[in-house]
Amino acid sequence: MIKVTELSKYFTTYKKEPGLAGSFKALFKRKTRIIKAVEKISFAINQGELVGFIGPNGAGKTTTLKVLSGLLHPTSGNVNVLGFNPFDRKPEYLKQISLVMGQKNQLWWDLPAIDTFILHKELYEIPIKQYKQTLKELIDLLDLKNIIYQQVRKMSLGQRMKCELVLALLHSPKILFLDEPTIGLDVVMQKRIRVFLKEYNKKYGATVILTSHYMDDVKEICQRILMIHHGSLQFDGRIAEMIKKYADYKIIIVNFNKPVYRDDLKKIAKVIEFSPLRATLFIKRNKITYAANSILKNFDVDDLDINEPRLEDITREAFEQS
Amino acid sequence: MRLSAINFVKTLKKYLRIYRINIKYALMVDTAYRFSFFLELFVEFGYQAVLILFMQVIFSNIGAIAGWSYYEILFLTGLNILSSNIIVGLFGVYNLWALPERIKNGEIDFVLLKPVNSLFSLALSQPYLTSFISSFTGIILMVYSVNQMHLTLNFINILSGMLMLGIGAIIVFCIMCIFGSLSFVFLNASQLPRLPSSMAFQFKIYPHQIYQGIWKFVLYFILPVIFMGSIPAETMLKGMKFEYLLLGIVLIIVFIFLTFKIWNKMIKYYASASS
Repeated sequence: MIKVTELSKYFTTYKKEPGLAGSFKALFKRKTRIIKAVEKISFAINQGELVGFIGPNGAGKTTTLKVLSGLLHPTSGNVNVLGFNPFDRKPEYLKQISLVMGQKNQLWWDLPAIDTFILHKELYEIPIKQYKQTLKELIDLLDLKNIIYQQVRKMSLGQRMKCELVLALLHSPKILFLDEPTIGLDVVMQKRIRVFLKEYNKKYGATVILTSHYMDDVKEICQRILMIHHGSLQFDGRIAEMIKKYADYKIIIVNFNKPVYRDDLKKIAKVIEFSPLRATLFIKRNKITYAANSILKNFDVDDLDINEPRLEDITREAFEQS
Repeated sequence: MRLSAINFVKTLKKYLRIYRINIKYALMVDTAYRFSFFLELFVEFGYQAVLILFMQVIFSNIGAIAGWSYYEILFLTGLNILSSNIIVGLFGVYNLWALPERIKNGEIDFVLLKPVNSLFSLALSQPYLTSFISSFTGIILMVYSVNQMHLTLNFINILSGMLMLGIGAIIVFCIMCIFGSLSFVFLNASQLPRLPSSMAFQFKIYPHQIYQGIWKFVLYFILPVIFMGSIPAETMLKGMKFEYLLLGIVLIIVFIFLTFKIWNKMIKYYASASS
């Protein structure tokens, strides 16, 4: 359904010295610099999959998403989505996809959301019966009812994001591209959007591809992770596999009855967080028993917890390794 | 062949429906900001007053320009007000003039992903309604000068004049699109799409007979903005000349072809903007 082979996307920018003098200089003489946003990425995605792109800022996630949706022309490599070359932006292709960007909105700012929906219906030539039914379903699923009759500029961020989702899904796309869909939302609303996306995928079999900074998004929504760093693909697989590959350690959180010294703890394990009465330690899986034993033996321990590492830590670790 | 004709009509209907909705929404938004609506109208009328005054100053010094009498020139000025408002309202303000800024801000991401031709959605789809209202002054001026000349305009001539004006509008639109499409490549070129319309405003207010030599060549073949000025005015007053119709049709074909070619090439350079 989606097949990407050796995709690269480079941007050319100009290097400019700071300040006004630098700007003048750049008018006549400028150094070009090529930024390799994405470098030889290959992957394939099947219909109905829930895939998450993760990686730090500037890793190339959004660029990949924009190439897949057809906004950007790849520098080299092959991209095939639903049998189309996305960049041709053929109407038959565009009618089967949708892009939602958490930081940009496409609803008419001064009008009620419903007006943008009506325009969308004409743009995508959605039959009236299908339009009414889809709209009703989406409104029920997202609990929107009267909000769609409100002016968009008077909506809260959460309400607006929900309406953006309705708009993106009105033409029942087969593929949904989401660029940080939960950015800026409060925890409850984030959860609501996540649940909705999963439900939507289950009910309609749509492929959902998203980028996010929030690990919870990825953990709860995605079955599969593509990790991108410095423009290249570092990992492609299930979350459990990623934990196995990059997290060969567990985390011990200890509370002490008496203050302890950091250096004493260092002898046993890697110290991540430290205060005299509490510490967080990274310990290799095969040394857990030994470490726990020696902590209990050498210190006055109030409480000791052994945990699986958090996804954030794992990805950080993975990026550091690469 | 018949099938493609049916498809063409279907597509045309779709675009007209979208355009109608856009006009409706523009009205809803514009009237919501009442004060700025009247302010815009005031500015438009100011421009027109200057144009009429300018012609009067010239005619207080001379009797005729290139065979055009005072009231003929006044008629031309009225038509120019009308045609300038077509440029500003249909192609300018919210469309091609706004394009560089929209490109720079990465605002057109969503527009490009709609199953609608990008030339339509970026260059034509958002009308600026104040222009419709201010074009009435032009029509009033045309009617007034015809009355002063004690002329009755032949219906066929009016229609032919409107046809020439339509041809001119398409040509100027194409030139604006070609320049506008360069802003996909040269970011920050906010003045670029204004260049052809500014030239059109300057050159079309005079009778085309005044241009000689190289300028004649430029204004007949390269930058034929006279098709939005003295040619339709002359046609309405004196009847259609077939050489102009023929030239107009050839120019339209060439310019439409060039516009699609260049636009589609330039749009490949669109680099979006950071999320």
